[in-house]
Amino acid sequence: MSESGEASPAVSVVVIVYNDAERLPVAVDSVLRQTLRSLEVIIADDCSTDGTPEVARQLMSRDPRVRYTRLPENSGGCGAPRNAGIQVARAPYVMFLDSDDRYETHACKNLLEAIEDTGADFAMGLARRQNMDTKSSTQWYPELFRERRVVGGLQESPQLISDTISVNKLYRRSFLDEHELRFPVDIHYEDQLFTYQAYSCATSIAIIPETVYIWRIYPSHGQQSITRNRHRIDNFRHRLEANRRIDAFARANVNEDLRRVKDLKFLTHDLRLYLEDSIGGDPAVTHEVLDLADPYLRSIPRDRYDELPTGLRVACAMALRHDADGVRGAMLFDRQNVLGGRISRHGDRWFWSSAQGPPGPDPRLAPDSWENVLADVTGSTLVRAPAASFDMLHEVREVRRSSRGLRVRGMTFDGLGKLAAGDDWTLSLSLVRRDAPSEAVQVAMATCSAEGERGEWVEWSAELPLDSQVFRIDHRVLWDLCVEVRIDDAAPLRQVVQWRCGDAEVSAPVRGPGGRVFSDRLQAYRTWNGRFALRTVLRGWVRLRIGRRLERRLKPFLRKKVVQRWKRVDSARLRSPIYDAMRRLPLDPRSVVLEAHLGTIHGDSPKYVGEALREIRPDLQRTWVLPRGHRAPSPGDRVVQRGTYHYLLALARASFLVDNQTFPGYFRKRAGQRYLQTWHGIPLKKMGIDVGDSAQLTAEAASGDRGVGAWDQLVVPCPYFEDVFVPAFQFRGELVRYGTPRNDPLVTGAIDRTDVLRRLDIPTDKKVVLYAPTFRTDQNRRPISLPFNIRQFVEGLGPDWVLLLRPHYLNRIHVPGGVRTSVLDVSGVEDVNDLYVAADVLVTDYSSVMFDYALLRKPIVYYTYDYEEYLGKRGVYFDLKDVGPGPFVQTTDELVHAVRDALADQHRYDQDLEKFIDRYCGREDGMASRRAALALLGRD
Amino acid sequence: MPSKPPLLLMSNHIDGVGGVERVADELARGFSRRGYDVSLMGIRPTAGERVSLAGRPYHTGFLSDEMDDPAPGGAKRGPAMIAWRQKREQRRQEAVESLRKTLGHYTEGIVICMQVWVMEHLADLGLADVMAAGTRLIGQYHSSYAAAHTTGDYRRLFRRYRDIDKFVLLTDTDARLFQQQDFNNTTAIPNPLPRFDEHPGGPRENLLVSLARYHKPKTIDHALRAWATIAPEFPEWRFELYGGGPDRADLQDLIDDLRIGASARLMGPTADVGRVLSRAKLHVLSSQYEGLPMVLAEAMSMRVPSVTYDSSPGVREIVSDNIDGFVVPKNSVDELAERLRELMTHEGLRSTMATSGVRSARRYHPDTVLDSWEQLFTRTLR
Repeated sequence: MSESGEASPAVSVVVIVYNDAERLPVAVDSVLRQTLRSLEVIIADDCSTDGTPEVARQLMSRDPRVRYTRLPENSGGCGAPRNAGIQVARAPYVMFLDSDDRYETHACKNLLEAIEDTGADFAMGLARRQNMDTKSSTQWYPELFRERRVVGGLQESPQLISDTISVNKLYRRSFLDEHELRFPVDIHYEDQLFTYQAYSCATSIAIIPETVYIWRIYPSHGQQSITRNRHRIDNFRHRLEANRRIDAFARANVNEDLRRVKDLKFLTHDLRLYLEDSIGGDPAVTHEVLDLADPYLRSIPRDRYDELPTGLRVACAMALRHDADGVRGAMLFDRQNVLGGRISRHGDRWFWSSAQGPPGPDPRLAPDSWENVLADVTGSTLVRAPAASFDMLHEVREVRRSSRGLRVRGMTFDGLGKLAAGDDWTLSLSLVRRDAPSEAVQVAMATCSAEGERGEWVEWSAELPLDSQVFRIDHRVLWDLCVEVRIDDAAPLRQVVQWRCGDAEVSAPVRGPGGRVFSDRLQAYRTWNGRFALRTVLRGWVRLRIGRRLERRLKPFLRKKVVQRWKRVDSARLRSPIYDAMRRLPLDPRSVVLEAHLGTIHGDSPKYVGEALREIRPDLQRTWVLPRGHRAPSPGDRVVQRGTYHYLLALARASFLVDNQTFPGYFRKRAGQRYLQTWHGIPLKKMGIDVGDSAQLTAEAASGDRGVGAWDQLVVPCPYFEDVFVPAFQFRGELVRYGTPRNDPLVTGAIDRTDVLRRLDIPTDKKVVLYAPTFRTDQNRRPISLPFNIRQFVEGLGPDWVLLLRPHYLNRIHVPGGVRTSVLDVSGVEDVNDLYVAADVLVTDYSSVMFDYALLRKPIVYYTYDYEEYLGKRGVYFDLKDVGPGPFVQTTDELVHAVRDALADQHRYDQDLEKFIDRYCGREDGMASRRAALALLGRD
Repeated sequence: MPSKPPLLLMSNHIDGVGGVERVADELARGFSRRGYDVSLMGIRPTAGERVSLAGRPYHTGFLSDEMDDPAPGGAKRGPAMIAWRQKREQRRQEAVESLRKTLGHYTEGIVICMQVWVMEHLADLGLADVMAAGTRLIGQYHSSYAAAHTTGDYRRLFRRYRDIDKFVLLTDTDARLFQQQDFNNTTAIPNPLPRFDEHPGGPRENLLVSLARYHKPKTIDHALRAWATIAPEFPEWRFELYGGGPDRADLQDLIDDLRIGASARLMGPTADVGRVLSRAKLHVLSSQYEGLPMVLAEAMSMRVPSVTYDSSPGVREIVSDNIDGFVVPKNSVDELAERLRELMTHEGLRSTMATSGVRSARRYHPDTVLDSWEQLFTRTLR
């Protein structure tokens, strides 16, 4: 190598090691292979007693950039060796590395360039935690590292405080010296104090989005649980000590605001980590943790607790009562949205109490004691949370082998009295395949009547059938036990089941041919997050040799998609000839095929045309194209999936076809078939020949048996649609004027709002805002979830509001913990009309739901943060901003105000609304479905 | 390390007529002008149209002197194909072997792979070993992040480009997108313009130009339709369309149909884009898809504002709407016409835009680009 070893290096990397000769070379190599060559490695040995010195010597002889320093005696921590390393470092910049971790290849260079370009006191980059068993990795506080930026100290960006590690940072040596920053040597969690001090002293911090540190996690399965528990408690003690010192430093050096941030960080991060252990852990350990935590919790100013999410705040109350069960119940709510406590009313206040204990505040304590005040949940939306917004507590109390498989006995706790409030309820058990939740095995279940003071505990028992239903040759298939809760006629709720039956895992042999051949056993076990699940345990040489080999061979076919495809026609190439052959069969005069949105839902206009057909021609055989597992919409209906033989046959032989989008590319309409196109929205963006590249479409239109040319009738909602859509697609068939089948119930008033709210379990005095956007993807082409800050939005609106989320079916959403009780994911509600009726305000962007919702003459708010980008690209028929009957907003803050104002002043946009309806919305008389059905049948 | 390290630029081919070859030549000339010892190497001579390598102010060479020969066709496992594949494999071995020898001179130097295929040859020698020997490796990619996914290059880049010294993209956006996929060594340097002439001699004519191929994806007909709506108002203006391509006859028919034959003319291919731009006042680009259309930057550098469709993120990378040109929604012929009319009417606006255009096109000035590269070299050598 070059002279960089002798000349002053640009960066010094201090690698600390204690008795880790085995992994040290990996860590050091990750530094020596950095794309920044000008650096030195200082191996700071905490007086190891194994081969570490020898390994270090070898490393030094291999590369002159390696140096070695050794503490005279073992310090037992990371602080002393790091300080020793800083002492001998020669470079103007210093970094730290632990012997069991490694650097990303470009870490030193990226951090060095950042600190040089910005002149910051230190630079920090992203760390990844890599699980060394699974090799999967997660990012450490990624939200802090999204953008390349410079912040002027902690004041400017308090959330940095969550990143408490010292190893993902490059420090300016002069900065460390000037502020005399060194690691404390007598405690663990020296990082926390050091990092906090560094944050507090810094006036400029450079942040880069690149990964710099690979933090390797070695799951400790070998360890005895007792020593682990011991270890855990010691760790907690050290953590508290580190926090006490941080407090002492903070009192002298930083302002109240930063102290608040620090306290909240302790509660929401450090404390939460240990209280969370109570979910699956040993109550004795929880008790010890609570004893340690008590004085420290009481030293934190009480107002900090008001900023915690309800679950965690209540957990603190239970912690102060030293109630391990109570802590568990509250943490279940905090971490898993499982309501593990009771909400009950005392006087005019509402209290959370432990599921095991008596309701209400603790009478032995003063009403204004911390224990009682923190358990007071009055004013929280939890008090009147809809049933679908949380899971009840279900837990298996006992599991044992029985003659037929595994026998489980469990309890359900109904902490909000949802079961009691309904007229009728049922619980049922099922085993749900974890990687394919649509595969579920129903389990017969016996429920005993409710017990407890208010009938809040329900006892149940069941026999898990360990037969061919759950046997899979792929031994990695896991089954989660779930409870399905049905209250009255509301949609069923699938909820998780906790493991609460001791530490012993119970297994039983699989019955039925496959399992017997392989002598597999199914084992009930507790998942990492404390739930009840089943996994396969392999036994015997047959399974381990032959079975595994067979499994490997079959692996490609075992994947879910392939299995599903077996039942479908093999490939798109095959479908066309098979379909062509089927077209030679005679037409079935009584068959009608209905499809909406490419066979994904039972809804939109085809649903209502179908209903009208059922009335007019009950003799017709209706075939619905729906996803797998969908039940028949009404008795006598057939259900087929797109792409299957049944589908091809239905498509080839039906006399009547109803669709709102398009049939597959190989579809050719036969002579004698009648095809009603309902279309699925009023056009806003340009389409058809209005968008340039449409030669293909027009050609299709001309050919007459496919594409637009195949349509016989087109449902026309309004004159605007006729003016725009019909010429754009050069449609020349029959026009079914005016009205939209799916809007019939909106104008006839067939849907009762109270009834909808009851089914959604929303209190009638709540105000409801519905968010229904168009589908969109981010720059990486992944569907994006919510383009606004949901927490800010819900908290901004206040507790009187409920937010219904109706994302496009391809978009997934994640609702953060604190606001779950005010937010309902209603993507499962099949008929969107219900939601229109339920809503007080609609928030949308460019989605055509605005044209339907407007008919109800209720306020609309347009959240169009990407107006130019979204509409600009493609061209529009009219400028939405000119005619949209509502405010257009860009930020979450504006959105909150606009929604409130919309309800406060409902009539502000009345004129615009009437104009909008008149110009663009359907001319609805409530008879559109009937008209469309008659047109399809060829009658007037 | 010497302050001016030896440079080895490598690209699939160096004697072809493609864009990468032009850029490679441009950069190699620039580096040797600035006193570097530069070699430009191709993997093997191209089989297609060739340009002479004689008289270049830097060293040139090939890893293997045999030309590409096209696959013989026939059955996949047929004897002809097997022999061809074996030969190809053998040639690759030779190329790698000769690369090993060449690299001996660059233990203190910098190797720039302009395409991922070259890096794959290097990878046969072990990228980590090459770097451990002291050679700095820089990899370039000349398409966008989105294109890497559609072409399948992404996997190759992911395998070869993540651990080298620097991965150089053309735009900051692409660099960021790759960075988000855990490429931690990305940076962006644009390609230099072939010429940069903000004060060309000669008077400007009332001339609108198009410099796109006569080919369907370029939808030149949109520009013609737009022209047809405004041409009657501007009898003293002309529209010249330069380019080659299969759709010339169709376009001529359209010109006749629109009755704009008097003002719009298909000029055929041009060898001297600079001369065309030095005469013109406006440039129009109405294509459906683009990568990073450097023709926009070139027009800007010659004081010619563009009106362009928003056909790719690359368009906005170069033109700032309303500042140094107009970016209109794709397929909006009306707006295209409207913006052209605006610029043809207001000489003042056109000249303001031209001035800001030159300023922002400075990013693509050969000197600016070479400065960026030199800064990158300095940093890479640490």
